[in-house]
Amino acid sequence: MKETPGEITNLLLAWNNGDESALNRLIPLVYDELRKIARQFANRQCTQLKNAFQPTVIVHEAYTRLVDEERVEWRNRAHFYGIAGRTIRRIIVDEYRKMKANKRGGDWEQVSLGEVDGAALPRVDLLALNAALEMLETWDERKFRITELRFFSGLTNREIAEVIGASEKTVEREWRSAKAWLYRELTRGAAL
Amino acid sequence: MVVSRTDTGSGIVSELDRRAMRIFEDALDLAPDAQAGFIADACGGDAALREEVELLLASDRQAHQLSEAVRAEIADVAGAVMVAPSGQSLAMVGVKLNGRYVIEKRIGAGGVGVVFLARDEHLHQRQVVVKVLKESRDPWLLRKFTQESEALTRLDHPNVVKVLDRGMVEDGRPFLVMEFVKGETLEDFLKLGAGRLDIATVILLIHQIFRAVETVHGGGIIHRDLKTSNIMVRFQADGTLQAKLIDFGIAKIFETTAGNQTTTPLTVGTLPYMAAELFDGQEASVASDVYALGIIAFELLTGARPFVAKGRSLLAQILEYRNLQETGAGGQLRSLRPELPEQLESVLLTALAFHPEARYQRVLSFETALIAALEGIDAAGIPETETLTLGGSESKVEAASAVVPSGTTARRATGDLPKTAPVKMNWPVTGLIGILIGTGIALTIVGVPPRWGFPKPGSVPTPAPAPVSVPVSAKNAPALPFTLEDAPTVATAGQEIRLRATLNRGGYFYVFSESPSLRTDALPNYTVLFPGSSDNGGSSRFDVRNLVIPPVESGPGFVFEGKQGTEKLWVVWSAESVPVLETVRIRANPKDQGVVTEREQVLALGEFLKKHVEPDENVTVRCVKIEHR
Repeated sequence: MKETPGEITNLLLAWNNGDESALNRLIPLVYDELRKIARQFANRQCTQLKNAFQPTVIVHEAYTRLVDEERVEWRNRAHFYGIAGRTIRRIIVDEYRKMKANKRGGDWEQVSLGEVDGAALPRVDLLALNAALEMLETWDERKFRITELRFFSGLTNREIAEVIGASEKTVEREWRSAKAWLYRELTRGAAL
Repeated sequence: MVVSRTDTGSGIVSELDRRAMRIFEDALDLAPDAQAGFIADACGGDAALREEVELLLASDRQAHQLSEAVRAEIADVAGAVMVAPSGQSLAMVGVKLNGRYVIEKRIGAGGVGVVFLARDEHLHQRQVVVKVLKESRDPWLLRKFTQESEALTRLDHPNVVKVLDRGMVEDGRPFLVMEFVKGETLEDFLKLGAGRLDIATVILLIHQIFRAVETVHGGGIIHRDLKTSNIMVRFQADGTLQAKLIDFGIAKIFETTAGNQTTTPLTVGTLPYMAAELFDGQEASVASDVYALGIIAFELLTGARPFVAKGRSLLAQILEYRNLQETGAGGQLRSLRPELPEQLESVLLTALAFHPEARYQRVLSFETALIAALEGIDAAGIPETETLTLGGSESKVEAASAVVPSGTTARRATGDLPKTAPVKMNWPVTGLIGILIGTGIALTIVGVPPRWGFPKPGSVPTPAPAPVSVPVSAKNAPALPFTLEDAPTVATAGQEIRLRATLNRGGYFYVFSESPSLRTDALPNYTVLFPGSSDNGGSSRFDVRNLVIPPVESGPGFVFEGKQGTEKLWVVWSAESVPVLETVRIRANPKDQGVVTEREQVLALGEFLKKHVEPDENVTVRCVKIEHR
């Protein structure tokens, strides 16, 4: 079911044509829609419950619902994923911050990357990640965009290459060094 | 402690970092052996710069963890928050879930969920157990819950509770619907038994519980909370006793698609069943489950636990249990029940060893040792035991053949079966346990038309023409879970045949033969050729390995006898335990020498094979036809 394909599509097109205010109207729509989709997924009692929580599923679902494909060129689609990634990042980080504040009076379990050994995966403080991403944005915008699209839109390197208009090889290279840099940044002060 | 740049307040990438990053990126483009020299040159004498570059390179090696960890964290937040608007009360009685499960009463709380009894309105008001996540906003709990449901859904074992359904409560908390296991906990059952269960019952329960745990481990799960109150026992309609594992609240999943991120913020478990290393914060392992099973086995045998701490505080108890474990259980078992064999004591001491590496490393080896000790049989030296020795001796072939009713083609021949009653094995637990600890097994398919059998007594197998080796399906071999080599397509009488298989993925592996029908109902004749009851410790689960079928140490290979014709060998691999196959294998093996006799099972097996002619991710079936000339 496409809910408001017309409106979103119009805004995308307007934004693409240079109307910067369209972006500001676009983001709240996408935000609401993403929340709605996430909730519907979870309520669907789908057999793969966890898939409901993966940004990539939600983003692709949002796209098919929100965007009138016939009217939108690839470039707009790329924009859409960019917006969705940014929006999801905003939602996740806001909620994470709230959870941290509410939970156990700040006694939230905090383990930074690298502190947990053994086979188990380390946990990442998303606020620390977000702060690192903001640093990255001021310094190397392309690495930042690639990282955001990877983490929060769940796009593959190939899809990202199309979105940002670079070769897949470049994306791979940039993603690798962005990851290493982030890892370094998040483990600063902790033994590697 | 979380360290981030916001802590330092700068939020700006320093010039040093930028330079380091440029050098690091250039170094990445070089071959590994050229990197060191390049970095040394590029950094000149700047030690700080060089250190930063080295740190980036080290980070690059670790960074693969980052994506996984971030993904898991995002999924947690999205799952816990976006779909759960508010933490509603746990007043669930009367609520109908999924439009059919009506909650009747709260019956307890497990590690991560609240447990309710409910009725299924769609299925004759059948009672079910509904487990609802306690709290939806804690990502750790949500993750545990998702893992539990995944783990349980993947398992299919008669001694493990079944998951029937799942869904989401209105407020976003997920729930699981599980079969309602009637009966009582093993804890209560033992209180009634007052420590004097007869050995046959002990063996039965050990077999069921241990096999269930072995299956759980096979599914990549450490249970980590094995205890008598997590095991239900009941008498079934036919009077047999059945045990079931019911709670997987804190199961540690090391193979979940949701990720490998099990970091436990709490010490979890139940003290008397917790191995010492868990108190020290070590990861739960197969060995720590083995420890818990050791305690359970001790309780089954004596009604008491080997270690009892009396401390008042949790911490005092932990320290006490740790010390008791370090000191060891000594001769407690036999002081409580003197008639038990000494060997049993040492088996339990091994399972309860203080150091995890000193314990049995697999449940199966613990079980084998335990049951051997219970039977007073030395697991290492069984071949001499009269009713157990299987395989090898050709002179018994006639005896085995003689009792085969004409009209069946396939039999599992066992070498040293008593001539008077070849089929009946008077090992008391044969039927019960389904594992025979023997030196080996040879296979024979006896009957009128083409048949498999031993080499002729007293003769060297007729030198056959060189086997025609056909590389079976060489085209896509590497992608398959298993590959077969050297499967002859033609065999002559007396020619010994062995299949050679390579398992590329661990899983359940079987070989069945199908012979033309001789049954009155015109169904095909199936025989379980592999694994025999003594192969692979009686289990059909194999790790990645090469297999010779039948194993050389278990005696001669397959031989054709009798009329000529086409024999089909069905080679089956399954990622997970398949009840049909396991039932067929276990029931056919000890009872009828491998022949699948029951109509229902013949039909089920036939249907399974047919259904899986096209391999999928979980099941691969290959049919090898051998022309007997």
